[in-house]
Parts: sequence; structure tokens; C-alpha cells
Amino acid sequence: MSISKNNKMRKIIITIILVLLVLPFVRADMISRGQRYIQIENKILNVDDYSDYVFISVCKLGDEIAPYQGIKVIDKDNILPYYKFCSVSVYAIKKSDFDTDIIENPHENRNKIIEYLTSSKTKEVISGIRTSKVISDSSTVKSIENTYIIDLTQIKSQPDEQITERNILLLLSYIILPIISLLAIVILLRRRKCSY
Amino acid sequence: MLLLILFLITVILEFIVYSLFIRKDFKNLIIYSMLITLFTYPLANLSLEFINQIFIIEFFVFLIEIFLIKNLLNVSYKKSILISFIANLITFLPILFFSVF
Repeated sequence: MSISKNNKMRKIIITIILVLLVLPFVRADMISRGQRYIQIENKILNVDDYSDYVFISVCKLGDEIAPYQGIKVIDKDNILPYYKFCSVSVYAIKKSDFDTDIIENPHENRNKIIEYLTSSKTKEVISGIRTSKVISDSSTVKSIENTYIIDLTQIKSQPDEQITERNILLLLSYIILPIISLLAIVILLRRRKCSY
Repeated sequence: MLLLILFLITVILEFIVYSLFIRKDFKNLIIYSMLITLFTYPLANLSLEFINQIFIIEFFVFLIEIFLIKNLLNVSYKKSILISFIANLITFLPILFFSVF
């Protein structure tokens, strides 16, 4: 009886330890307390320079193209937002080679799309675009705007310009508060020295 | 709001650690813990914007606090190193707790 009780206890303890060990890793899609998401705006400045081309954006998860996350035609300058884990790539396709049928149903045409995007008809011009970012609650960053200038001869992985909008009040408090504190410490130490 | 809560928790925890080592002058100790935290906490947050390595930042906070504790609490370097180490170890726990759960 006592052996079976001991075994039961052991099993419970092992289960608790396993749950505690695994728990931090099963947060998967959740955002931790003290963190928040910010949208990253991505703009292409010279879409109009390539009037005979169509530009589309596709999500990549790891190295794999994930058409089911949506293929979006860049009609204005903005690259539309994607699922947070997506690394977005922009492809340039000659209007004459542009196959609207394939991109219309990405769920059914998954393999066709991958084949199409890796063919010579399409050119990857930007890679590794993030459309959102997890930042700490303590961060002064309010928003990020990336701008790209497309060059058909290369794949850009970095924006040509990045504008970061910050919470000025928070930023100032991070600078002013330590200064005030340091001044107070110096005054306090000086007074103490004088009184000795 | 979370920033303010973490700041207050840090002040209280640092005060407890200082009190355990010094065991007198408690009124001044709370002022010292407030001043020290007011100096290091915003700087640590600011540094996080550029260096995304919390452990490196925490190490620098530990170093800075050694000098501040030594001078404000009027203790030896040996003791200030120990106080700073324990205080930072303890104040780091709420940050880890909030980031994990």
C-alpha cells in the first residue's frame, strides 16, 4: 500500500517538475507581460519607376515560402502588414509574366506559387521585411518606418532609411531623472563632507 | 504603470538589502535606495534601447551601484560589492518573473 502511495507521489512530483520545465516554452504565440507589439511601416519609394512591373509581397516562415499567409499586390507604396512571425519578401514580376490566377487562391495553389516565385519570371528584390516587432514596455520607440528604393539587380535585406518615432517624454525622463539623482547624490556627499 | 511598479519594487527591495547590512539610519537608507534606483533604473531602461542584453546592462548597474553604495552608505569596497551584488540579484528577480509569466 505504502509502495503504491510512494509511486503515486513520485509520479505527481515528476509531472509537476515536467510541467514547470515545459511551461516557459509553451507560450508560443503569447506576448509576455512587460512587452508590446509595434507595427513597422514599410514603404517602397520608387514603385512608379517600374511601370512595366508588378510588385507582390509574400510571407516566408523560416526559409519556406508561406503563400497561405497571403500574397499581396503592392499597388501603392506600402507593404501591407503580415502575421508577426513572417519575414516578408517582395518580388518584381513583369506585367506580361504576371499570373493573377495563381496568386488568387494561395491555399490551393501552394506548390504552383512556390514554383512560380522561384522561376526566372519573378525577381526577389527585398527580403527579410518585418511588419511588426515585440518591444519592451520600457522602450521609448513608438513606431518604425522603413523605406526602400528598389533596384532590380539586387536583393535588399536592409531598408535604405529607417525613421524611428520615439516617446520624447519617456526618453527625456530616462535622461533627466538620473541627472537629478546624481546631482542630489553629489550635494548630499558634499554636505556630509563639510559637516565632518 | 508597470515601469513605476517595477521602480517601486526595486526601491523597496534595495532598501531591505541595505537595512539588513547596515541596521541603522533606516530613514536615510530609504532615501539612498531611492536615489540609487532613480539613477540606475532609467539609465538601464535607456541602455536597453541600444544594447538588447539585459545581463550586460545588469552587470553595469551592479558596477555603478558599488561606487554609489560605498559613498552613500559609507562602507568598505568589499561590503559595497557584496551589498550591490545581493541587491541586484534580488531586484533582478521581479524583472525575470514579469518577463516569464
